[in-house]
Amino acid sequence: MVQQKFSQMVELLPDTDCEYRVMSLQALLPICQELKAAGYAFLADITAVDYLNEGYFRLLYQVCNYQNGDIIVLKVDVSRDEPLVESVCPVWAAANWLEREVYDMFGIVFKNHPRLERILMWEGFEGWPLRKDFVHQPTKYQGRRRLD
Amino acid sequence: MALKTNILFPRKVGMPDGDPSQIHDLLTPEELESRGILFTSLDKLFRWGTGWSLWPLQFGLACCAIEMICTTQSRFDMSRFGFEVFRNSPRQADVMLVAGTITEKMRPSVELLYHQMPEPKWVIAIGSCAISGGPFVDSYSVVAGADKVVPVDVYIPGCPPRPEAIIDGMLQLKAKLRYPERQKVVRDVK
Repeated sequence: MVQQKFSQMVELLPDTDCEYRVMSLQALLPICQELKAAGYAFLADITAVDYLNEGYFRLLYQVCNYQNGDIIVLKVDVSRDEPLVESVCPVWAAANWLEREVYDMFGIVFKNHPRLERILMWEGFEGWPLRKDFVHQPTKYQGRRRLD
Repeated sequence: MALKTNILFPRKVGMPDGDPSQIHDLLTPEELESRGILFTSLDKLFRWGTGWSLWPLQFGLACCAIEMICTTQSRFDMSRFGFEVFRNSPRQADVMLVAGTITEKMRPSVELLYHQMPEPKWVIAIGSCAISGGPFVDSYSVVAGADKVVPVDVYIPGCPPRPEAIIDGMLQLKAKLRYPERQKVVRDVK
């Protein structure tokens, strides 16, 4: 279905039957709206992978269909230099916290998100911990101890 | 009969009252014990009683809490040793069982709970994470052990420890209360 409707905007990844790569960031929101209309009512997860050497984040959206049990994974690449994506909160309300988590861990900014704040890390934490180039400065409560 | 005469005529039958001239009448502790009289210091008695009525704080942080819960249930049953009264309020608890990973976000709460407990209070660190941070010690969010936050009395190693080990840890705390002279840590240094 996805392949037929958005043949220009998505491609089926090789060796899979449900994972699609979205070619451009602008196409993401229309595809999501179309999926929701087609019965994919449940957004199961949003997560990201940091490809440091290639210079992009890969966002993964996992959506499920209650009617036929279908699961689709949408993958879209975001530049590391300007991590800015359109929020899918208007389509699935479940995206609210999931996008906040991705923002918290990777620093990817979601446009038109109702409340884009840290969700897991505490207030005042600096940095994006799941980025590959994140260097952690241990607090006085952290760090390995030496047995001297 | 002996008691009656003792009360009425304490001096005449030579009840031990500290008179040096009647020192041969003093009974040894063993003789007193055989008659049901136990001499102890009040401090010792209190410590003995405290050891049998430790009230832990019902407070779990991670997977070790499951083992702690298991320890209280019928198969292992911590109440055999007097630890069964888990309190939901730190105001009513003696022992804090730090069961699991302390994260940097949870640390203020752990500290607050400890300070809310009335004195005297003890802390038991259950599992690798509460001892030293465990496998997550290099993480951005994990505190490297409970003793970075609160003073710890007993460490129970394991990932997670078996319920038997937790019971043994509680018994170690009881022994520490009962025999304060054993509190000193002895390391096997050559």
